[in-house]
Amino acid sequence: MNNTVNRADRLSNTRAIAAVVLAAVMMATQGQRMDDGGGGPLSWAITGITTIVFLVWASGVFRGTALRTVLNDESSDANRKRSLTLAFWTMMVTAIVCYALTYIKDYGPRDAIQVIVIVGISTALLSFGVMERRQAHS
Amino acid sequence: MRERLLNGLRDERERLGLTQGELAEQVGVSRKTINTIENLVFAPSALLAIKLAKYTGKKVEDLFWIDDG
Repeated sequence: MNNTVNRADRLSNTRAIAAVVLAAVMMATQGQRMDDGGGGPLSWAITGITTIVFLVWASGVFRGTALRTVLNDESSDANRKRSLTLAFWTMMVTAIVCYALTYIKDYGPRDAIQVIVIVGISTALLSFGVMERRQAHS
Repeated sequence: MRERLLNGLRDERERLGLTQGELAEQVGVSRKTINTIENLVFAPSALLAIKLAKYTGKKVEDLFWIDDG
């Protein structure tokens, strides 16, 4: 098998695993911070920087054009679009749940925003990673 | 009635004696994309379908067809 396709396969696999791990870590750490009274600016900065670093690395921007083209080919692009669509609807449902919960529990907009954003980002990462892994090994 | 895009890519690839990776390299996509097309998980774009047909020496309509049943 050609070197470029081989390298793209390995990178794609690593990217899928990293996406799932990052989603799990994000959910766990943000959940923990909420138990501790909510995430402050530092927690948001760490989450934001980690996500941006992952997205830049995962896009293959520092790789050669040929490798980047194969890594982000049309099946990966389709998976990316599907994961973003799923994340959008998950965020909508989470927002509705947060709204309904205001009748039962007293919490501020900061908590609600944190839950909605983290659920959205985690869903996108998790679904992208699972789809990529499943398709690579089917 | 739901229409599905079927293909004979696996047969054509095996006829040419190519691995998924070798075919992927020739048309500039990943092995995963070839795998998902063969397993009918992913419907390729017109651009990729034409590239695949050209490489396998088939007409696009002979390599890809619609199953409406």
